[in-house]
Amino acid sequence: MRAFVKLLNFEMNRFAKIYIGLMVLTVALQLAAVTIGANHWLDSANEAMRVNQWTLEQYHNMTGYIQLNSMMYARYNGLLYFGPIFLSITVLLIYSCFIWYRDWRGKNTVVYRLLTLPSNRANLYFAKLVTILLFVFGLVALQIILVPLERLIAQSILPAELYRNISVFDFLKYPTVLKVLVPPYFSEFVLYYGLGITGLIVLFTAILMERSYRLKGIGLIVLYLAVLAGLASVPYLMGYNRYDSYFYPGEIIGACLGLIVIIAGGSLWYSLYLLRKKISV
Amino acid sequence: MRKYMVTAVLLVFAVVTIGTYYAQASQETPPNYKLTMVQGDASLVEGIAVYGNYVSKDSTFGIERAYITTNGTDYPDEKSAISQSLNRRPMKTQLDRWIEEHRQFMRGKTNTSGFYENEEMLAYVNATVDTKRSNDPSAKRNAKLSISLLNKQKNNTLEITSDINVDHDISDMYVQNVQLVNQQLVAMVFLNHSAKGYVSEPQIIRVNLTTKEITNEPLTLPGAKSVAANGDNQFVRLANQNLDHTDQWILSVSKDNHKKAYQVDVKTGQISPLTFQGHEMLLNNIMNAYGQKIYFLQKAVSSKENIGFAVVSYDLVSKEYETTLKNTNIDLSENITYAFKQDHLYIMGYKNFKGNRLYVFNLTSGNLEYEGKVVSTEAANQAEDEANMDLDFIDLDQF
Repeated sequence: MRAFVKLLNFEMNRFAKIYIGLMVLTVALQLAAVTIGANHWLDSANEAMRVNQWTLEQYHNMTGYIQLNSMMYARYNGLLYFGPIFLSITVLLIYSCFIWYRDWRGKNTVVYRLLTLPSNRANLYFAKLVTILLFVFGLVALQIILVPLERLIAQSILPAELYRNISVFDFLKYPTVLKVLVPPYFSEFVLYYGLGITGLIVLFTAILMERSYRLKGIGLIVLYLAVLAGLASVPYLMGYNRYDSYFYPGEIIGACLGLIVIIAGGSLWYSLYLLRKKISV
Repeated sequence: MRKYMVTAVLLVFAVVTIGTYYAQASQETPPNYKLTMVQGDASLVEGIAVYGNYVSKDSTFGIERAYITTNGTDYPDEKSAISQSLNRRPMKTQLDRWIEEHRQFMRGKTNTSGFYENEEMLAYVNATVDTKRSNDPSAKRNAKLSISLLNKQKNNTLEITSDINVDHDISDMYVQNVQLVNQQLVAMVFLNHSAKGYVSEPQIIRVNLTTKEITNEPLTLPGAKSVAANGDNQFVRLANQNLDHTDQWILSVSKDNHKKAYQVDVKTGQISPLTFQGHEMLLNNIMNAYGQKIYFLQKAVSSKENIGFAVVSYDLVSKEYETTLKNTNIDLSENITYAFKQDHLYIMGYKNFKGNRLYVFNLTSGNLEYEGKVVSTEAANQAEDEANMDLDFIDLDQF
């Protein structure tokens, strides 16, 4: 356990600067998006009231309330608001590959030190896996605590007659990428991130295949992906998208969960096998 | 210890924030409603549900779909995708009960109107059209008819499948009703032509359970088209209720804004127009057949605009008309929803109609047999919650 914690901390610190940079960028751009959006709505409300000689109440009766999610539709605010989210996802996806390959880079390659450590090599694998997961969940948590801050900003700019406060839960339920990143229900959170973790395990397996067998490994990866595609097609073959499927929904869901466990478990087992037996220094 | 600070802080931050968020989210539930009886026979609403929209002033979307039964409320959007696919309806349906009893037999069988059940057997008729298209307009398309039969006593099944040829422009086939006559399953099937216009064409399919022979008889509707020309539209509706045993099918045909009705003898396949001499205007009303009677729901019968309703029954044997129900209190303007179940009429209105009330009338006696109200179970905001509920559908487990 101690070796795992040390390795985890080592991996965390290696990416900490870029990660904190991503967090700062997300906070700055999203708060800016809300500030710009709220001011834009205020300006357009003032303009409409001036041109039509409306009171605040009349304007509200004509247009309805402004809510936090309205901010994303003002000018380029959608890009400003969601841009850092997509950037973070992209960076973390790239780093999920780079977290392995960076160990082989340079003259004094880190992998020599890591693989010769007097501890179970599985610690190395799980340290990298947990690092990526912690980074992901950290950004998810950041997004959750940003929403109340954004609400405060919008509330302070817009008059109470025009602005309606909505709960964090209602805001995150709005159908945007946020609904996928922070699903409304915990069971969906477990399902979505369970699928994400399975995807990460598959990616790590493919990387370890390549690292173990180099060029031959590419062929193995193709074979491995073909097997996964075959397994993934089972729910389609069971008719999960057909109303009159021979199988009942409970059976199809059970098969899907079983497949996820098989894919994640099988890939994890093979990754650890490769790390212990095939990768050498 | 300080060197682990980044990892520890991130771990605690993620776990506490996400954990707190989901703990709070689980508390944010919309109000719970129940269908409660004001007067009458509570058994009439056992196993039924009323659907509506909860219109919240504080929500981003403002509207949430709600399924209300005598036990409480289901909000399908508040459930996970898995939970939604496992429990599509808020109550146990006839299909659910059959699945519990005959799990293997019921696989892939979802069309309620394709079933026939009696004490000895449960039968299912299904018709499908292949999706292959041919450039040859005169080419026939393949359609498949499959019949499954469960002998309840012996618990054995019989499967009969047969390919049948249909016209090229048939887009789909739907089994509307199945009856049993002298060891023959008789199914009313609609073939839909949608290449040029939308024309629905009724056919009778007979399956001899002894010889396994299948025959199909197109029904020639006097004065109606069975082949679509450009821009033609013909809609056919079967007025009989699903799963009810009958020896007469009643068809309502709409074409060019004209409605006609036909009576089809299940045993002989003989079709005859229902003329309703002197009462032709009845065809413009909502029509439902049960037993040997056809019921017409007439809206707005009072001299006051849009107030009241009446039900006129037509006896297929005696050919007599009778106003079985006349009500001048309930506003049956456009904002109502209704459903027939055997000889009962369930009526409910949109927009807080009479305080979210459901009425059940017996069409034979004309009596109000049940009056219920959808109430919020949360005492604190009861009046506001009830004002925020807008009912719009009655699910009597007929489909």
